[in-house]
Amino acid sequence: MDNRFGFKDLVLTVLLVGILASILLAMKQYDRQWEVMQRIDERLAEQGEVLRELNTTLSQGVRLSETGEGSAAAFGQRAPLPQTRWLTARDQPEYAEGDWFVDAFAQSVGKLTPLISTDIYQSTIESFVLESLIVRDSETLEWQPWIAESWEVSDDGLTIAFDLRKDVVFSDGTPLTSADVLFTLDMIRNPEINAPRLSSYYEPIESLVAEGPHRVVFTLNEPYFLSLTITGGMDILAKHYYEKFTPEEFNASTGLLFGSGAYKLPMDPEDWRPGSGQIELVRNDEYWGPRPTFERLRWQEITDEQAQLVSMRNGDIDRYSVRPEQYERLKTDENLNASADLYEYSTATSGYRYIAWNQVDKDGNPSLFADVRVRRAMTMLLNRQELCEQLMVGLATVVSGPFNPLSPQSNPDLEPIGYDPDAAIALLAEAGFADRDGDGVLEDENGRPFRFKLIYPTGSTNYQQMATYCKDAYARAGITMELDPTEFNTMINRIQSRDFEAISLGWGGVIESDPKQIFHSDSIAEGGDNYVGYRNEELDGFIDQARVTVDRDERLALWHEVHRILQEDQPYTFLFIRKSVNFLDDRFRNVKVTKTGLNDRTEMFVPRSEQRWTQ
Amino acid sequence: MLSYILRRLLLLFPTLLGVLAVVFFVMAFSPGGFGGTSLNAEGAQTEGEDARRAQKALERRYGLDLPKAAQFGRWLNQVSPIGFRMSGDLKLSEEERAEVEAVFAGQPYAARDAELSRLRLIVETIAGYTDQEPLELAERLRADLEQPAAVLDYFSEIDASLSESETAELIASVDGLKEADGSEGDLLRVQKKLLQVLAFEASGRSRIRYDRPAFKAPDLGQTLRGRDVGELLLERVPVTLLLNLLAIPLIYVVAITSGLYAARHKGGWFDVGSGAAFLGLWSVPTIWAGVLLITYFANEQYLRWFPAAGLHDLQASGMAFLPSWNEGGFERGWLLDTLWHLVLPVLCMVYGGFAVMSKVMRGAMLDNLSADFVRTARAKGVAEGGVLWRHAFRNSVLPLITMVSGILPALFVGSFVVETIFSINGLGKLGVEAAFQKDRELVMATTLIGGLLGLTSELIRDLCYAIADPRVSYD
Repeated sequence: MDNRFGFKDLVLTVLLVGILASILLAMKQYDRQWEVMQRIDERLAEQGEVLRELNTTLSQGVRLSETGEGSAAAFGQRAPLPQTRWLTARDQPEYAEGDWFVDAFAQSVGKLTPLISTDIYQSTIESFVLESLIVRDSETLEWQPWIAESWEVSDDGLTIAFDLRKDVVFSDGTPLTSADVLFTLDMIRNPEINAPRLSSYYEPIESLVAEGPHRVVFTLNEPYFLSLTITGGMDILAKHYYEKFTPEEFNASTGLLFGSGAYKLPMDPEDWRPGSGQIELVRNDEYWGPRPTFERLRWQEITDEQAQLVSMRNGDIDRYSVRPEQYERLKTDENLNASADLYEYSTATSGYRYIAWNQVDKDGNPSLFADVRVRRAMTMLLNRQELCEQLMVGLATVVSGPFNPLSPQSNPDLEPIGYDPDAAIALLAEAGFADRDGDGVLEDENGRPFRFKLIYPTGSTNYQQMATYCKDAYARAGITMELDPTEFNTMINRIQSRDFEAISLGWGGVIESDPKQIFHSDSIAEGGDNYVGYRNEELDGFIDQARVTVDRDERLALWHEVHRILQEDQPYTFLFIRKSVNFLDDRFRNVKVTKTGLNDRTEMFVPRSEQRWTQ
Repeated sequence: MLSYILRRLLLLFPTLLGVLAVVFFVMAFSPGGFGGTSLNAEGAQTEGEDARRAQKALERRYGLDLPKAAQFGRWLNQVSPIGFRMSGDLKLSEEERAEVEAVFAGQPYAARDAELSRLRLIVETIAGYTDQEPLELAERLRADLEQPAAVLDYFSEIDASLSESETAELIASVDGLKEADGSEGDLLRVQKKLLQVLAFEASGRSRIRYDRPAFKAPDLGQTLRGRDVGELLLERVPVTLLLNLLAIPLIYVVAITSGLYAARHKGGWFDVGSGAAFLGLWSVPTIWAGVLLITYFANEQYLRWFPAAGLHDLQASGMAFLPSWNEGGFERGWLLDTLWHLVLPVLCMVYGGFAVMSKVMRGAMLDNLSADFVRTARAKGVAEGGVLWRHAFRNSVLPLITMVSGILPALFVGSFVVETIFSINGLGKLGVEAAFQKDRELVMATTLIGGLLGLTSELIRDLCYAIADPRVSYD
């Protein structure tokens, strides 16, 4: 049968395709080899450069010592290294360098470039590559020197001067000077850089001048309580590196992460591309402080919860964060506990959950909750301790106000309002609510029953259970609470239009927060976050005063007053802050729980015999 | 035939436009609208000032302060290869920039380079937005800055989205100046304040310029997180293509052979067995199967044959490309490593697909095996193999062609479930996440591409009918 496509043709075609494919693969293989060669070449060139620099410094050093200003004297002047917390690990007998720390991300990171990235996990990675002038100690939460060896704040709080260390270098060996600090502020404030929300933080800075290469002086418009955070806390960008890029190039870039930190990207930052499913940092061999312990830090992108758990069991990742519903089961899981340790802790940066009582009703009149007695009663009716222990399986702590109990901002003398249904009912009776017709439901003087709707986010079992718990608690006191689970976006619309009676949500946390946005009466108007319409002039006064008080102790005293008033007024029923629960592979040593969570991984190490990863 | 093709092609565009319009307006009118929420992943709120600024920046970048229909027009103009230019794309030349900066040089509010370039940017944006001569505008702005009250007009010129309280604050600061003793410091402070707000409002502001339409590069826009949509798609497409190129042929080969065999031995153990097994597999939910596969085949406690997540091993970047043997024994190399990582996800994508295809094949084959021409062929004494392949099989391929035409769009459809379970960055996850985040540009881009592929493959399918089946004719 003439020219039909037969079996032989098929074999021939398959053979041809096979040959073509292997040629292609071979070409690809060759290409990869070439790339590796290139990388090795670059490394060699880099090291040659370092050697040459070393040689020049050495020869200069010799010359210097001839003139009497020995290099030894220069080293003697060097300020003590700020990384004292890292150094404690080095005193331990088993201390060894090497190994990797492999962590997992549940979401992909699309951009590493600082300032313009909005990815949640980017800041974690950035913290290993960029450094700021001063940092908060994780144990005391006080500022401590880092790039700046000391700083002075003027008495009026308007000028802050930082003296920079002279030995700080970026990961290519270029020294960090005051020009880099000036450049960083210019970058942040450059309107062409796609970071409008960031630049607004820095508005209180009036000017920044360099007095010599190692001293910068910030001047502020007005005294501001976060002035140290915005000046000393900004991550310093390298002028010589970032000035190569035009604002357009910078905005379009994905991986421009380059700094003076202990780790750096393994490739030229311009070549970094997202989407590979993992992010890796390598030790910065030029680091100006003690040599970093881990050879690499790596983040694997594992989106599925189950896959993360399996990877933890397999030893592919070193940290697994446990959700409350898994807690009971995993706490006693033999397999996991054999190779990992469980850590439970609260951090000073975790936010709180609340129920907000809207004091204004739809027509702009005072609502049920405008009466402080009612709000206090609503809090007293909830057994928040039981809520934490049962619903949150003990992984939450009751809070008394918007400030994190671990933060110095929180008033240590205040105890959360206790569970006291009898007192609550008495308070409600005082406010005019009583069961007048004997149907078990409270009514006001006009016979209208006490009922309201609580909105909370849909899709979360945790919120759902909590709302049901509250409903029961209030029903026992004769208050009808209806549940109204609402989708996020709709919820935001309703908050903006003030169309709700009570709402349950959470606020994110920082070490020292600014309550003005949420509780000051200035924030009631259009779009402000005081969406419950809460107004207390005494509180406004304290907040305004605290915001311009630069002295730490004076300010903390004012914040404590703010905390006390909020406790009395209960504009929200403050519920709890959640604890974090993490499994960490047990080969890591020097692991400590600090006020900001597990200590930084730069402080940990793995003994030589237990090291897992090398390359 | 030609006129039919032309007609279909002309119909393609209104259909596509309809699809795009529906998606666009459903998104635009959904609660929260574009970008939606100012809540972060854990459901915690970001502080107000921050959220408001971010919202404003979004409004300007995507023109969200326009009416909805105008927004759609703006998006269409952006993706179309012929269209109007945006005012934001007009940049000053090097000389013009220098000239504009020279106008402000030496002014106390332009003492630093950053301040100077901020002024230039303000002039550049306003000039493009309001069609003014940049140099004249710069001169005017310099003069107006001496009398700050006049600067307030600029905000309305660029349709700034200032809230009432912000406007009141600006007016108050300008009014305060009149009452003050007119010292230099006060003036400078007000000037700086005005410029700061003006720069924030001007940055990223852009509108369509209705001059002569011209050819331009289609632009899919930027995602909410500031990535180029086209670039992002290019990054994800190869991953999804790879998965589908492995999965779809596998489904076809297994389904067609088993369908053939089942038809050949109708009622036999294989026919019944494969039918039941495929239907059984078809009804297993992927999400459950995926989790089971990971827990039993990628877990140290059971069998750790395959990796649990990702497309590459931790050490893959250091591997050779092809497998090799050296002193350390066998090294699987980058290629095998990738294939090894693909086993579970591909298995997960494939198992449910056998049922439909093999049933179609079996049905068509049975039809033909009992047809007259097959009986004739047998009567003629054609060997059984010949009957099966040359007569029955060739005629049974027709319905398959119909199904094959669906491959083109299917190749670009990622599976959200599989990609999420196995932590693979493909198109499926991208699309679903975009919809959750209300990332308009991304959703619209995927709709556009999906719609184009779908409509084209439908056209090809209809043409294939005409070619393969003489009973179908479009003339």
